[in-house]
Amino acid sequence: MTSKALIAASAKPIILSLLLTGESYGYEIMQRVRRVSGGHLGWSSAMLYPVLHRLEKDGLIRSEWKLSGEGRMRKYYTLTDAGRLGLATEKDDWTAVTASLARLWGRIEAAEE
Amino acid sequence: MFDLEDSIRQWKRELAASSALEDGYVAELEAGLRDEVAARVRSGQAEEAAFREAVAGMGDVEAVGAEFHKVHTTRRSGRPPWQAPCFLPSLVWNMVKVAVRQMRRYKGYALIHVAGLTVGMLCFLLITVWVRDELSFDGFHVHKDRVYRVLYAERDGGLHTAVSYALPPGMAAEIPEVEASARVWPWTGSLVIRGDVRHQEDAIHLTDPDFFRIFSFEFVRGAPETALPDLHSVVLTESAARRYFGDDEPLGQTLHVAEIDEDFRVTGVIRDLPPNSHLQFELVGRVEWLGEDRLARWEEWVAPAYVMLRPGASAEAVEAKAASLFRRELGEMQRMISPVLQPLPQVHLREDGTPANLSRVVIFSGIALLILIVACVNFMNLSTMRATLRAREVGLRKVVGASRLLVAAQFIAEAMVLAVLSMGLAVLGGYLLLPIVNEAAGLSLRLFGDDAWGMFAILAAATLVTGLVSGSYPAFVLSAFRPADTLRSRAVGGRGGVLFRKVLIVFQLTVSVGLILCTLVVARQLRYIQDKDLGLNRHQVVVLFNNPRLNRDFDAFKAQLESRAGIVRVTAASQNPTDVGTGLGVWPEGGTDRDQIGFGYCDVDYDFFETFRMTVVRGRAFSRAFPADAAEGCLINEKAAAALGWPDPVGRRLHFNHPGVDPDRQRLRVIGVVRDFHSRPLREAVRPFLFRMYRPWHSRVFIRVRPDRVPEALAAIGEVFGAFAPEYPFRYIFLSELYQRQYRADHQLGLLFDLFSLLACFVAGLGLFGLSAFTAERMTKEIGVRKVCGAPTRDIATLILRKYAGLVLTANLLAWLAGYLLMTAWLNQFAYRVSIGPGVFLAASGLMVMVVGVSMGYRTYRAAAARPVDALRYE
Repeated sequence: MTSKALIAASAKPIILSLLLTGESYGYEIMQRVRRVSGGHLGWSSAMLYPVLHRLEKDGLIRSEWKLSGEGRMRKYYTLTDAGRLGLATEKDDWTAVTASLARLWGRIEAAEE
Repeated sequence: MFDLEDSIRQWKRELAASSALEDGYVAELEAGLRDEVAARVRSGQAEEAAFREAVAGMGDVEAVGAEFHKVHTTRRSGRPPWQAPCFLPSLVWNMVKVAVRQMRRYKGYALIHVAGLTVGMLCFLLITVWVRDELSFDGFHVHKDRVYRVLYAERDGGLHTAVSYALPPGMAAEIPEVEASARVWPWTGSLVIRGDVRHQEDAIHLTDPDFFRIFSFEFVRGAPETALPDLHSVVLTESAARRYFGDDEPLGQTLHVAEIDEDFRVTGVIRDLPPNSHLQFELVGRVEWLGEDRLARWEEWVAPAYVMLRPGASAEAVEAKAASLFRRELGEMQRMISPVLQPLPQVHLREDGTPANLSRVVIFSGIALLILIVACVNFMNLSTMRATLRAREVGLRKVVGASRLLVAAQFIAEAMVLAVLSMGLAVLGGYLLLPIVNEAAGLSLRLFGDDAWGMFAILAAATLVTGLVSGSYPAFVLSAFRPADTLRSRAVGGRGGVLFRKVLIVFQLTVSVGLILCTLVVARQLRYIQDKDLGLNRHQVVVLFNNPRLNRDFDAFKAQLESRAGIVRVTAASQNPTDVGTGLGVWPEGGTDRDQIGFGYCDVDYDFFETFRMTVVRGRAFSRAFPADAAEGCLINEKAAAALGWPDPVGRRLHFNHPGVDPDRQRLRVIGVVRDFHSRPLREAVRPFLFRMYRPWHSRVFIRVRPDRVPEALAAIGEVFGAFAPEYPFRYIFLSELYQRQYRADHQLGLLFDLFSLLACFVAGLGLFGLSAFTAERMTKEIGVRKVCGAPTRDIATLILRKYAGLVLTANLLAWLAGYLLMTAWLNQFAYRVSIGPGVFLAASGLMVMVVGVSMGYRTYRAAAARPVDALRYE
């Protein structure tokens, strides 16, 4: 299980990336995260919804209640322009982090061999 | 049968309990839940199981609520407000914060509060340090619970510290409960020589070997069991050892004691004595040097003695046995006296047989407590006065749900914060002030001392109690406000509160005036002692301690001195005539020892009466022209003549029972009568007195010098002394200085009264200042209206002051009464004393009125002189 701190830190870029392809709602976001991580990241509602609220409060995403195909009300989230911009920054940061880690681990493995 | 809609409704009701979850959030959560349930059902799960697992996956209500709260709060950390706190009782932190804000908001009042409390606590602190020091005396002795000082008790309650030296060994031999005994003879001292080192020792104690068994002085060399094995052994303190031997091993070395011309072997070295030991000495030798007959005599009262009882023995039983032993030896003649035992821990508090130290401890503890209470009262007064300022706050707190207890806790917390702050300042002040107090009063007090935790605990307790006491009344009053009244701005606080406040003010003023009164009376008595005509002239008299060399050629020494410029007269005597300790029984010729009268007694040399400028009212003084004077001549004072019933005593004969004089030579002829004089501190009445001529040895030499040539005379005395006794260090003291020392405790008392009455006035002044400021504020509108209608400033000031005139008057009357009773009791211990005239009362009250005027005048004047337009626009 991934640590709480890492889940909290990575939630923002993941959600923003998911919404890049179009609007989505809570349950669907959770399912897609599970799928895309190969079951590695299991988010709970208690964790997801507050994060969505924070992102909305920060102006990165926008929400809207809509009637779904099953005839129930759902809250749909879409990316704002600020969100797109925020995602670009996040992407740079995370790329830098993963690249550094990859390089570091590459060196270690090279040393081990 | 499971119903999904029903279950979801119930689940939503649970969520609604969390204060962070608003309806919108719940709706969103519900949508998510439905999605999940639908997905699970699609994949073949039963509806009920799907619902249960979906709910479980969502986490518990509290956690969900807390997460939502985090999104919306502006606080960066901490728990949500509806969750229970983890370590502090609820609201304590909040209360402290409000208290600090109050202080910052009303800096002036906070300053008055803190200043008053700090001063009160400072007094408390200083006195506690001193009292603890007094009570710690002799506490370091291991056997302190079974060590007693032997005293002689008179039937009328008087106690004598000097006892017959035959008694302690007698008790040890005949009373099985007595385990050990030691006589302690504090020798005035002697020149002690070792090689080139010569030192005049003032504190040589002569005692029995059991001394070190009874008292636990710590040995650094040798052991208590082997100390003082024979007549020529001596035990030193560490600093005395260093003085004579430097860093050499002192054990087994010899010291020469010049006075008796004998060598002593060092058999032990003990650590320097702590200041809180009532025994203070540098050298200890064997008591046998006093002489066999003196130690064996029952009639002579020599000096103090101590006994140690066996564990569990009863002091009363031993006292009874000692008394019968005493009676057996001395017969019915001594029926007025019986030996009693005084527990060691009490010895310091009743050092000279009277509870003088004990009563000082009690008086000062009382004063400390009184000033602390005044400070608390001040605090209560100011806090309740300002109640109206806080009334709305109290009302609002109650409206939003605070209980009375919580409101009260808020005010107590505020008092507590101020108390802690004040104690911190007081400790700081103590650190700064203690060296000055030590210097002024000749003490060696330390703030925390050996038992730092004990002191800390006392201070912590004092802080707590002060905070509680000073916070309790404001808390009680303010928390009683009814929210509806305060919020509607109706007047709050009933008549009872006003009355109580008045009582507090009166109390404060009473203590201040009372202390000023005491200060004035003590100062007057001290001045009286200073100026009192003692019947002998104590000014410009230099006192030297005699030594064997000087004594041998005393007449030549005297002749040489009297030939020098600036020196008027030289004489010698066995006692300092302003403080004669010895006494004996006297009866007229023809009578028996059953008719004996107690006399003060002093051996003197020629020129004694001339040197001290005493008036011989009948007959003549001792004279070389009458050789018989030395053998049988004596002078008595007027009181003695009256006691003997002799209108003209010159030529009459009398008997005296001096234990050192052969019985067949105990007859004297009166050759003169001197005017009454004070041979004892002014506490005691003049008693009958007998002067006898005795030449072989006098402990003190008295030299009258001319007041205009003192430096010259001192140089001459030093020179002549050096010629006659070169091996002795030249030391002198003025008789007037010795006289001062007799009243050291009284001067300390005077000093402390000065200090504490000043502090009490300061606190009371602060209170009055706050009071006047508040009154002026409350009356702003009234003053404005009056001024508009034409009232002059003076009338308005009078109006404000008149409110408190009654209180000041009441306080003065109470203080006069209390001060009069207290000071009469204090003065009564002096046989010669000032009367407490009306002047003292008026002066004390006058001073108080000045304090009142200064502290109330400014704010009152400002309020009265203010422009009415400001006043009317006020609020």
